[in-house]
Amino acid sequence: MAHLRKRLGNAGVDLNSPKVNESFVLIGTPLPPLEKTKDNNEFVPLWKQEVRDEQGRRRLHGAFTGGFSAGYFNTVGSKEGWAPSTFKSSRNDRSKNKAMRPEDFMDEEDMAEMQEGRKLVDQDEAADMPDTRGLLQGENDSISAALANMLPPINESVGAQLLKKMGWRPGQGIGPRLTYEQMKKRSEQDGNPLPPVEDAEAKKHTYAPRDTKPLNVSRKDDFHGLGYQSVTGLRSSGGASAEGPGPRISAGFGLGALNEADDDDVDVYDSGLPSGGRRLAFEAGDEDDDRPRKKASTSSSNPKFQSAGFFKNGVPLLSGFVIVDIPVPEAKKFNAPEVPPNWTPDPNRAWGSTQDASTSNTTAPAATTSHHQWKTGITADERGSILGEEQLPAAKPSVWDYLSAKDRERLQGFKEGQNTPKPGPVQPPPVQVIDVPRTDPAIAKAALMGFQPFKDDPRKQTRYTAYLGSQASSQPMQLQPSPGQSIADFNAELEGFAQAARIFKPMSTAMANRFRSSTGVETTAQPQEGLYQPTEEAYAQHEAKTVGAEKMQLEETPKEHAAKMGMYGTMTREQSDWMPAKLLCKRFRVPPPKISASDAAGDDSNTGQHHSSPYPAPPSSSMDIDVADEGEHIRVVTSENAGTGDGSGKRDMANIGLGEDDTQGRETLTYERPAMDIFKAIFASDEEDSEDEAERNDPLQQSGEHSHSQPGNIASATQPNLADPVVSAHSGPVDLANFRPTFVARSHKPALDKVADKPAKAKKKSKSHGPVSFMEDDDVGLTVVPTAKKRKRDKDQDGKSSKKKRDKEMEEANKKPINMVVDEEDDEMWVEKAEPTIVHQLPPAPAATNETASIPTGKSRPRASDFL
Amino acid sequence: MSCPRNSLQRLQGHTGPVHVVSYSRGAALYCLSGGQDRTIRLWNPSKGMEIKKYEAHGYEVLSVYCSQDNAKFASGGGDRTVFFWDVTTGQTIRRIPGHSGRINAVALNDDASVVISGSFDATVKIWDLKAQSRSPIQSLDDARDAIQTLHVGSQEIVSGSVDGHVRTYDLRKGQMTSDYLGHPITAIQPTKDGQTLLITTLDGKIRLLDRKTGQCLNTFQGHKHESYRCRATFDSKEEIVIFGDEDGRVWTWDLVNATALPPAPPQRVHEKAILWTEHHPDNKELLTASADGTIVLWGS
Repeated sequence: MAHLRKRLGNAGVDLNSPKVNESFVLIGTPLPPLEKTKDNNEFVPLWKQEVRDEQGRRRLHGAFTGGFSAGYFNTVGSKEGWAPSTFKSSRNDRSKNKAMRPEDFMDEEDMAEMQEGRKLVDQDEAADMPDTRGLLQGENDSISAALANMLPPINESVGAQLLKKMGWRPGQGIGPRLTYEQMKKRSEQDGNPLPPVEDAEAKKHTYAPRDTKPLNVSRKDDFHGLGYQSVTGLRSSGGASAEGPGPRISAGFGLGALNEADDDDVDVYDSGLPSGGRRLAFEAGDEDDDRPRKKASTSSSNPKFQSAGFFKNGVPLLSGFVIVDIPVPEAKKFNAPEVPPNWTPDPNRAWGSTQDASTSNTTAPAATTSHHQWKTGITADERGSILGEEQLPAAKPSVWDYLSAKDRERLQGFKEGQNTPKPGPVQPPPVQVIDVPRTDPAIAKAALMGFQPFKDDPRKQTRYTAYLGSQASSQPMQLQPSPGQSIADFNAELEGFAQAARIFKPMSTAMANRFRSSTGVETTAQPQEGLYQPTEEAYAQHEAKTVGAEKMQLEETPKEHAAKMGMYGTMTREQSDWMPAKLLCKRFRVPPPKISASDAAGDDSNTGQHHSSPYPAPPSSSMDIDVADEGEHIRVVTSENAGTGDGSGKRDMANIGLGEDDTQGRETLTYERPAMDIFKAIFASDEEDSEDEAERNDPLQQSGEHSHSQPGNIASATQPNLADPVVSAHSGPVDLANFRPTFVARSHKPALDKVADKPAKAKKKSKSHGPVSFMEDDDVGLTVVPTAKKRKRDKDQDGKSSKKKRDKEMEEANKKPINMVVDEEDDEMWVEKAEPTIVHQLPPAPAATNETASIPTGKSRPRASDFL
Repeated sequence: MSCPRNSLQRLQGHTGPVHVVSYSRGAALYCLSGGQDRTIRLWNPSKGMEIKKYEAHGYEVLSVYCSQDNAKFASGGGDRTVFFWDVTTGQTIRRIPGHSGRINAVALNDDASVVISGSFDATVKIWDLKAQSRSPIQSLDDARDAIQTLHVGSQEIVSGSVDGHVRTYDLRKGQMTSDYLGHPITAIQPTKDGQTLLITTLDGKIRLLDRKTGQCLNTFQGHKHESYRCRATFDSKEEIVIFGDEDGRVWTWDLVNATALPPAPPQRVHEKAILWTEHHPDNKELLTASADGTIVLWGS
């Protein structure tokens, strides 16, 4: 083909033209069309041939691509081939360590081969069932039995194993061992007395009970009663002759004593009874025969087959089965008794008699038993009363009696709340009391506002509303049953109301936000049967209804009213806070708005918008608090003031160290306080607590030690001074645990200047106050002295002696990024330090000093634990 | 001070109602239109030529918004997905699902980094085009009913809803102002100075609202507007208010006097309702997109 194609191509014939491909073949198989490129029989030069395996995969890849059957394409699952696995200690993750199976290294082919080679083999012989064939077939001559006993089954059943462990031996019966006397007695009872052995030794032993033969339960296929013995003919009592083992030879002619028993001579009527069985010459009830007969007379033609356990057609029998020689009798059908032709049914006869009997016997009429009672039956007490037994004097034990009075009351209340009819034998008498089901006031209130379920029935709706109103306000209900309504019906209706209230209470606010109850009133006309003929009345009613609907619509909010009147403006305008997402502000290149914390909290509930804001609202830079009793405007100055200052560029205490950039310290302000646990872990160790304790007890001693022992912390202690105008203005060291936003009454403003000028004096004063960081100054008003006084003194002395050192520390502090906000941190980190000289040198900025003050605090000093 | 009333070009191509037509930015030489036939078409209106057809929507296109650099545009419609297109290649850059109802309005911010969509599901969702996140930056769920129109300013988002509220979200102040008009709002057009809003409502009235106080400055009426989303707009000098109504008439009013300019009532120029009216930002040109499947360019 290829040659032909090539030649045609050379001749300039278009191979795709239909002319070329036209078939002229009339007989035989045409060649494949020319355009078909694949020709399996086409000759391929040797170097183009490909070796493929039976799966059609390429086997030979050439030396440069991995050689025969190697590498990625046929064997290993990756291009890189095998990657040597690195050693992994199985010490820690032993569970992850998986044992490799041979299957992990096999490819599909190997797997398939393995599948083929697999055969289902029973692991253990089915030896649980004792081979009953021999027993059934009567091959229980003593030798075979002995052999069977000698050769224990290969696999014993679990039961046998258990028994063996309990001391049982094969061949023995089951049960406790017996004494000789017992044994003797028992064997006499069995009718198989022991041979009289006059051996003194015999009485000294105990014997295992005799083995019992497995019970062969036969199918009952007759219609005799249980225990019925069919009439046995002439010699009903005979045939109890014990026969020796061996095949029984049929009595008859031609069989000498010397003749060997042949198969043909074996008595075909032999029932194959084991020794000791009865043998009857004649049995009237053939079907009564206990044992299935092996040899049926029908099979006399080929007894060998039968004895070997074959079906008639030669198919071998399953082991343990025998062929039934008596066909299974078909179930007999009994015809219905013939009804006398002149009989007419009279149920009253039968009913009457039973009813008479029941009325005469029982006190309660049977007809009144409820379904529940019928199901549960009668109790012992009831039966007793029916039988006329005397009531026992003891009180009825009831759970009720064991309950405390309180519990009983509660249960009663609960029961009433549920109001389920108590299942009882007697129908409850018609209720005459209006039983108002309770509804939770909250639910009732909600249901009042929610869906109105009985819109179609306005009268019912008004009753429903009245009920809910009474429940919501917890007032007694004035609602009375409507005329023509029985009290039971009314109660049922109230029950329905309570249920409706439970069901139709509006959804939770989050969900309810998404829906709006329709404003229009749905007036679904009750469909009337038959042809509708509008009457004048109905028309008038409809008119009235529509008017009513219009009236309903008139009830509108002021906003709607204003909009309708065209009074747009304040009435129709609503404003609320809305927090744009941070990213949105970024995308719009707009600084995110600053919503004051109080506003945000206040509006959060009614706008429901802040949930979407991804970050907490920035804290307010300043909060104005009116203190009512003082009547003065007190301003809280928090550390935020430093960073978010007015931006006026004024050089005040807040700006120190920040250069010209007002926003420099901003990150400091947005600094989020880490979780409490961190602080606890770092600062609130037991040691420090105790230290703190000691310090409190003896501040004089401790503080001195402290400051000396931790010189490295001094620098960091100065940092807050730079960030915080309050602290820097008044005192160098900050007892951070004691730090509080400070308040200054405006009236005391000038006093603060004094404080700045005379720090020593202030300190002296503070001394008298014990370890309270904020104190009242008599003439100055409220000042800040945020440390324990004595420490400072020591520090002062120390500081004065080493001014150089302090300056150096200040420099250090300036270099460090100011990320330590004055925050409630543990004081143990910080060591008091003398007031920086810088503070003295700077002219006290009015903005910073004027607005600061200290709070009169209680005598108790706040501890670190207060803040944690 | 007159409305262009000479029909210059009739742009025919859409096979169903044209819901929206929008001039391109800058010199506004071109216009984009979206229609019921699930296509967005780019036209040169002055030559009456269809330049390009954008086909990706599986449902009607209800809103088209062109970015400031004319390179991209956003569209939204019945398939509840915001499409962000590249104008030249005609391919969608992003498809942003997330709404549970058809999208009635889309808008981009100035640098096209954010697309804002208002939907039938009563939410305005703000999507970040710079990040690949599938969730919106923010969702504004205040509206009780479908959002019909959006306006996005440099620092604000204004939405108009069927519940009769115009809600202004001020990013700078962090404040939401809602003005109740009592009737479903179909369009909002702010003046260039940002002081007033021209609000089209379904009660057949167009109101000029003072943004500061929320008071109604003027009411323009006489036209028929009952059921369709139609849009009123200003002319380029903001002297007159133009509205194409449901009868196919183009109404004009004096902005200050609120008197209908002659001819009143105007002639019917479209067979069916005019669904969108768009005035050229500079020239005296007007585009009206109608339910009869045509867009007409009007000039003087």
